[in-house]
Amino acid sequence: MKINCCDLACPQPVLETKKALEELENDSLLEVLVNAISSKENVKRFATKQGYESRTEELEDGKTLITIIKGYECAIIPSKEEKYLNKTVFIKTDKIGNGELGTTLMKSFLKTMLEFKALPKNLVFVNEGVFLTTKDENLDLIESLKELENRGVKIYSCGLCLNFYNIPVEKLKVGEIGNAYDSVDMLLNTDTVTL
Amino acid sequence: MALGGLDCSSENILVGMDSSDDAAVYKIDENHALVQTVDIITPVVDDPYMYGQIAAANSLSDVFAMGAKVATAMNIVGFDGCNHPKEVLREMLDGGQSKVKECGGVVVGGHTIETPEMLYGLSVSGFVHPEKIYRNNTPRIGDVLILTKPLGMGVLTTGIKADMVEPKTIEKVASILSELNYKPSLIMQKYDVSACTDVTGFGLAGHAYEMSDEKVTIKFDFDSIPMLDEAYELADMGIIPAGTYNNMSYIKDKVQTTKEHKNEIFFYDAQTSGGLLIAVSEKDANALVQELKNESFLYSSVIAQICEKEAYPLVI
Repeated sequence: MKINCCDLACPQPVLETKKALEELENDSLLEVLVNAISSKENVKRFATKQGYESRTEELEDGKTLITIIKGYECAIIPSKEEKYLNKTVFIKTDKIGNGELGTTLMKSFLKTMLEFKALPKNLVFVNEGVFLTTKDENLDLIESLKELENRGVKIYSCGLCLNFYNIPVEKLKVGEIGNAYDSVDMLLNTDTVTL
Repeated sequence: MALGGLDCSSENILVGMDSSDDAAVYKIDENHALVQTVDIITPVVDDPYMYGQIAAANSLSDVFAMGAKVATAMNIVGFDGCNHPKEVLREMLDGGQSKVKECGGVVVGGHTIETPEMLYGLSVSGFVHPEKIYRNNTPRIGDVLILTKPLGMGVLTTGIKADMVEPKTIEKVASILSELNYKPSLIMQKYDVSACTDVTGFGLAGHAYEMSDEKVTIKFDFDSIPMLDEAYELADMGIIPAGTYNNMSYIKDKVQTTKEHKNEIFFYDAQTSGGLLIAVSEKDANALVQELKNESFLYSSVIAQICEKEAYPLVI
């Protein structure tokens, strides 16, 4: 998480930091941007008093970035927050629109995703969407999905749907089997884009 | 102080812009000199009456530090009429007036303008005998320094703004802030005092540095400096006003630190309506402290000694 406390008068930067640290989950980082010596010293004092490690980095224009570590530092993936968008892509079919064009579009959409720095958190394949993660004819797409998975995107294929289309679990070539609970949780708690 | 470059000399100005005293003194005749000072502050507590008392005590303090007597005062008010009813203004002014009365002065008028943030203070006029002015930069070598109020008010008022101070502590802080330096001023005049100032925005360090005038070295017994315990926790949490850090960066290279002090930041803490800092002969010091304590200035303590000039003006 990152908060901007530039141009805030004492004690506001400390109060903002306190609030952010309370909201922040364990084993993560809080970055506080300040532009006054008093704010810098006060935020550092506060972090130390609360038992958190912190480090500071002087930036240009007299700004300072204070990084406060909540939890165990080694467990933290650097700037985890920024790599992923709080988004779930919900894929209901193996085509975007009809026919051959629909198939091409879907494949190229998913492949193009790799070119973005910030990726969605989850890809959820349901109904005919599960063809994309299982069928041999989609191997080139599956390679792209594997790459997304390597970059940390969670990929789920609906178990019920695999059953319905009589696709054995061994055929699943990327990601894991998703269940209804997890899917609904993602739909409700992240921004969802439906394809 | 920002006006230091202005030429305001006149043969009748006994204390003016060239000195670091906050009040000006104008000689009227052999026996009378006029003391003038002005100060305004933003609210430090929510209660308007209490705020009025504190702002008034803060404004009047410079007169007492010079050993003068308050005659008249005028209200200077910035009032946020959009967010506060008129009664708030009334209570604030009543609070201020109560303090002017307490030291024998009269409120004779004033001026109010609309401002987005509340401001209040007094323009004060007083009198002093031209030869009995207590200056802030004339301490004698061998004298000791007495401070009459505890430090930590900058931290505590910042904590109050952050809503992190218990009501009981707020009451205690407000009662210390609103306490006039009137009686300590009267009391000190009975003793062999060489210099006096009040501790306000520049903190103990800043005002002591002004007192040293780089002609003497003031050696503090850090552990005997009175501080409010309630401020320690807040300071550790980073509830320290920007003014305090400004003081520290401005004065730090004038200070020699002989050992580490856990609460060193309080040496620089910007005070509102702080106590008097009195340089008194060593033989009178105990009696003066005792009399201050008898008059319920319980935090009064000997905190430093005035020594021959060394490499640094201040030593802690």
